[in-house]
Amino acid sequence: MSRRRDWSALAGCLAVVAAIAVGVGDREEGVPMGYADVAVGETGASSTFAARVLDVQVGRQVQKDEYSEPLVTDAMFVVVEVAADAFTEAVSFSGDVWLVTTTGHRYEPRPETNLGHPPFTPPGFTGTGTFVFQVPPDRLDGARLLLEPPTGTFITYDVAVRVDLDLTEDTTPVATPIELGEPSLAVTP
Amino acid sequence: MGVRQAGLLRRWLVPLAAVASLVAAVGLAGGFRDAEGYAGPAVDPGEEITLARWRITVDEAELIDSDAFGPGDTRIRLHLTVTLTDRESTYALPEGLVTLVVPGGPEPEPGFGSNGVWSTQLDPDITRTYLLVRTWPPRGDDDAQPPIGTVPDTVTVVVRDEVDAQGPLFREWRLDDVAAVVTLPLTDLREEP
Repeated sequence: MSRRRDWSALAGCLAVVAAIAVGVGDREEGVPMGYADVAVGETGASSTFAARVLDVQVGRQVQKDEYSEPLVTDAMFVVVEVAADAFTEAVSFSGDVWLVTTTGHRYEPRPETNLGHPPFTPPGFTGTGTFVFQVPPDRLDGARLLLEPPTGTFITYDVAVRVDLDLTEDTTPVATPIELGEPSLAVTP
Repeated sequence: MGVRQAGLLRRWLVPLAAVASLVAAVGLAGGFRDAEGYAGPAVDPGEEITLARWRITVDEAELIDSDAFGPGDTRIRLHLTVTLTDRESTYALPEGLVTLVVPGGPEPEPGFGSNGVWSTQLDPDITRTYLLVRTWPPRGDDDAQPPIGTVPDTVTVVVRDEVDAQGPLFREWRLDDVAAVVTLPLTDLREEP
């Protein structure tokens, strides 16, 4: 009886270790991820949100607000306005948004403009905001916006929304500073 | 050998063997080698240093006591030109990749990158100026900054490389050997020396 209890305890411990190992596995290698591939203006859905890109602009200057000088780059800013409907969980998009190039490089939104990001969006609401990426001009061609669902504790299948931004190397940059709009939150129609 | 001696030997043999094994393991792992200093290949200021996932140029070092926000502590401001050659944006230059050393002086306080309107985030293949600002001399226990006796003519910048290693849970970039040691003049830009 005692021996059976010992073996049960050992098996329980091993199960806990296995669960932790599976749960903390590297996301890129471990999480089965599908993609909802959409174009600008189309809506793609994951398990927790539906998102669409409303507008895309490229330029070398971004105006954050009326109080500060424009940010200026020798590379290129890609300014993407996004609307996201939260389904059953709140959506924050912190650390889950990338601009992915055809070369396989992943660019995070620039933190200088994070006040323009979509706000924390509770279920039933739609958040709208802007992400600004800084990218070498020769990597604009075919660049896509990737919106990933939040990482769960354990591996589950999910879908990331991937939006073809319809950019090419010949996309004409906006000559004047691109003004960032105010983020907004509204009840999903 | 008497019975008593044999007993003593048996009693101590296992602990001694365990200690010897431990010492051997530590030695094999390099635990008894000389502590690493800042020795490494000398590189001139302005010369690009190529690392596993960075290209870094150490441009200038300045001693300042004010900036765009007004007067403040005495600090050493290091001008770098940095390019991230990895595939993914990263929050900042990793801690310990670039270390400022004041020869014969106390170590500067640890700190962060400071780049005016720009955050510390670095994006792949975007070359940019990156400033490291370190309070020097460091504040004492009373939080007051001691006066500077003599301003050093030069400071030394130690640049380490990284290695892509598998940790217990994740793959991660870890600091590796010293890749370059740059000695450069310290320009005194203080308004109130």
